Amino acid sequence: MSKDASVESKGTTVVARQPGIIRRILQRPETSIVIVLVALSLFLSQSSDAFLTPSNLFNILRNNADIAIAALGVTLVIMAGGIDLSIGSTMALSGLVAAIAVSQGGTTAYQLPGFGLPPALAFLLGVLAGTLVGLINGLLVVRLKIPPFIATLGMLGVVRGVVVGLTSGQTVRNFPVEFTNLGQGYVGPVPVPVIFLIVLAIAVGLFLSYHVWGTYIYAIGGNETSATLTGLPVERVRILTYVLSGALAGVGGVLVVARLGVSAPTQALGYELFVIAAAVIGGVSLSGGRGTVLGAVLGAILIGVLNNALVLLRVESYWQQAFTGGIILLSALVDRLRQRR
Amino acid sequence: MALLLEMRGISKRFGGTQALDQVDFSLDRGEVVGLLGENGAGKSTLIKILAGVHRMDQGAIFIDGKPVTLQTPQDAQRLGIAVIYQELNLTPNQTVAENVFLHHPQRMNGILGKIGIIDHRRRERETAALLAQLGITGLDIRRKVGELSVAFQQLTEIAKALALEARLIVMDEPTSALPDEEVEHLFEIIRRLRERGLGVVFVSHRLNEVRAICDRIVVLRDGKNAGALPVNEASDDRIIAMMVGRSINNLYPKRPATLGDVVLEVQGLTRRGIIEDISFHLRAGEVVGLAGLVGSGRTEVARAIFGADRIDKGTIRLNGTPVRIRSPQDARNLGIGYVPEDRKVQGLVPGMTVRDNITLAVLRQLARAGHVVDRSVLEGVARRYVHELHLRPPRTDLPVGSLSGGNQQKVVLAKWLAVDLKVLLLDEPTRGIDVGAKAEIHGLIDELAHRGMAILLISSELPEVLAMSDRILVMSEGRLVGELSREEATQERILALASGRK
Repeated sequence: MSKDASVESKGTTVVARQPGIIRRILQRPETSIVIVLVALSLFLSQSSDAFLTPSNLFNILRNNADIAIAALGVTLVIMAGGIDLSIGSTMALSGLVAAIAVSQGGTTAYQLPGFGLPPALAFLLGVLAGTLVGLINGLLVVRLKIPPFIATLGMLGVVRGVVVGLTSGQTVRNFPVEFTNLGQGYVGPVPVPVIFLIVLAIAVGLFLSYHVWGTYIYAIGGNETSATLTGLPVERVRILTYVLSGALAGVGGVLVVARLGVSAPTQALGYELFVIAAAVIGGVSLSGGRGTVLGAVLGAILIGVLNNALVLLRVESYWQQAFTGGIILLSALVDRLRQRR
Repeated sequence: MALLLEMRGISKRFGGTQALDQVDFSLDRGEVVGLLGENGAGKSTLIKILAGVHRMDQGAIFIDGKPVTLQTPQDAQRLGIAVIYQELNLTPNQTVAENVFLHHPQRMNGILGKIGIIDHRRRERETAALLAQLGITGLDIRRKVGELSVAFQQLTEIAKALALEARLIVMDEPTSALPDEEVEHLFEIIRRLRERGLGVVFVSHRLNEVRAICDRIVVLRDGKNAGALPVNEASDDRIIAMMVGRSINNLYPKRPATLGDVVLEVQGLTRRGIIEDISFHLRAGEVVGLAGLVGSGRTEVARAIFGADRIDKGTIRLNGTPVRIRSPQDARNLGIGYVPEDRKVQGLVPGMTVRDNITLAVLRQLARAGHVVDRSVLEGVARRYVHELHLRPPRTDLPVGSLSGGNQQKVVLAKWLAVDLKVLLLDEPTRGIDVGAKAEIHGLIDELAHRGMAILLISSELPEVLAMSDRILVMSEGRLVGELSREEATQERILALASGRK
């Protein structure tokens, strides 16, 4: 042994042997979701003829694209060590703003008037509203140092209250077809919301992998003190995660309105449960520093398939939330087991 | 009579790593045994097996000559084994008395006790009695533990061990966070424990301490027994040779410095109540030691210069130009780096790879157009430092958290070397690092100074400060109380200044 090489003692390091490619694939959190998805699908195709049809599968994707899109944003927040509980309310506000902007006016006494703006502009305004909520969340957490759980819980209430207050409980309807097409239309066989999802997922994925701030997000979630003492722009990055979360929730919220053709004050109520579940099921560690975009999308799809399964198996829809909650607990358990290894 | 503790042929494997291989260890009543070895030698694993935290794969443990099973921490507790870890195991918001009797609270007599009502008076009385037995004075048993100094917290742990009727106390590097004058106090307590017939296992990196308190030493290397001998037969060289498996020629490679211009000039730096009116300068190519007791404000000076804490007053000049440093970001951009004292908590992102940690501070500079990360560029930079610093294993794709302490510290250093630094603030750069890596880090400090970097070296290890510094500043209670040249500095003079004696 040369002198240089012998200066450090041997055997001081725990070296994992380079695992083979199959093992590495198996160890990825996404793999377990895919396995569960395939197993669930096989089971469903056995028990219901309706499941494994292209139209049903595309329907599942379309109906859950908004949740998946919002999950992209909350993934960023959680990875940087935060949490965003205001997702559902943010989605409702964005949807409402877009709806009022684009609506051609009420047709009954219980509907609000609209401004009849072009759909693209309405869409943008909706997303902007969500972005604003995200910015407020970020400022509350980073500048005023309110713990993320409390800050976003407060915003959950405030924003929902604003939505209910603005509408006095009324709905907004009567949209031009160019707007509802955003939620109901197809490009070829692919539903438009799914296109949105694919484009945004790729964008967020590229951001995380190839943008400097993507690495910063991992670093901040992994060890915030260390990130600060390395001279990283920790505050700005954290605010950005909330802003992006708000914006993506905004996109999701507008898509919900376009899909359903109505904006109601209770829309997307409790969606934060699904969205955070999607992220956690997808392998995002609630303690920060770990997670992937693909995981979050797969997590959302799994929730969608599960909900679909409950319908196909004729479980009453009232029970849906209980199942989703159970899935969150289950995935958190899987997360624990994964970390212990 | 049989030995108090005997561990025979203990083996333990973690995944692909043989942490312990047929290790023997013994301890008698009234004996203090020093357990030595580099990081990763297996000391912690052995201790944790004794504490019931890890289960051994093979081997046998005897207490008083009887075989025992140690499966859980409760088993260890029942057998009279107490382990005092570096990260003390206390509940900060409870009082000393509450902590001492945390595990078996003193209950009231009769029915009230049966349902779990605690007799506070009795608890306090018995805590006071325990402390008196140990000769501990000045510890208010009604104070919350979180408000106490580390030294008092440690004493609380020892009292807690006695309350559990421990017969065998393991202390894992108990002196690493203690100021020098408290170390002697701790030793008195340990001697008292020895007189009472307890067995004490003393884990430390500091040879002079081991020499001062231990009767016998046991050395581990690479998970195996590397030797055991009475302390008075062990020379430092012999112990180091046992620990590293070869002799280290020069722990402090230091070449004469060639000093350049003043790079950093600090004037009147003040953070009220913490540091007062600190003024000094660093020249290019100079290593300036900053000595002082723990809590004297050394770390705070470094943090203030680095922009990690706000300052109330004072100016900082870099190459003669006044600069405003309001955040670590500003400091980094000006070419000032800071290696914090607690690398795991403050210096690294353990879950990220070696590559990503090394390049974290320069990510933006390395990115295309300042935004797009190019993995191959990062890999190239990381690889260079992995080779330059002899990182073991020489890989860039492992999570930093899986490396040994010495190698983790090299990654922290590499991170700052990747930045074009003028000034490097080192805070306890070799704390808890084994001898081999220590020598390498000292070599690196010397090399950096030779390349013209100005270095501030904060260290509690006086031999290190004395050997590595061109000039030594001494702090006491938030103030600079003295400056010694390399020639005039001795341990005694530094200690005299640091403790406020003239």
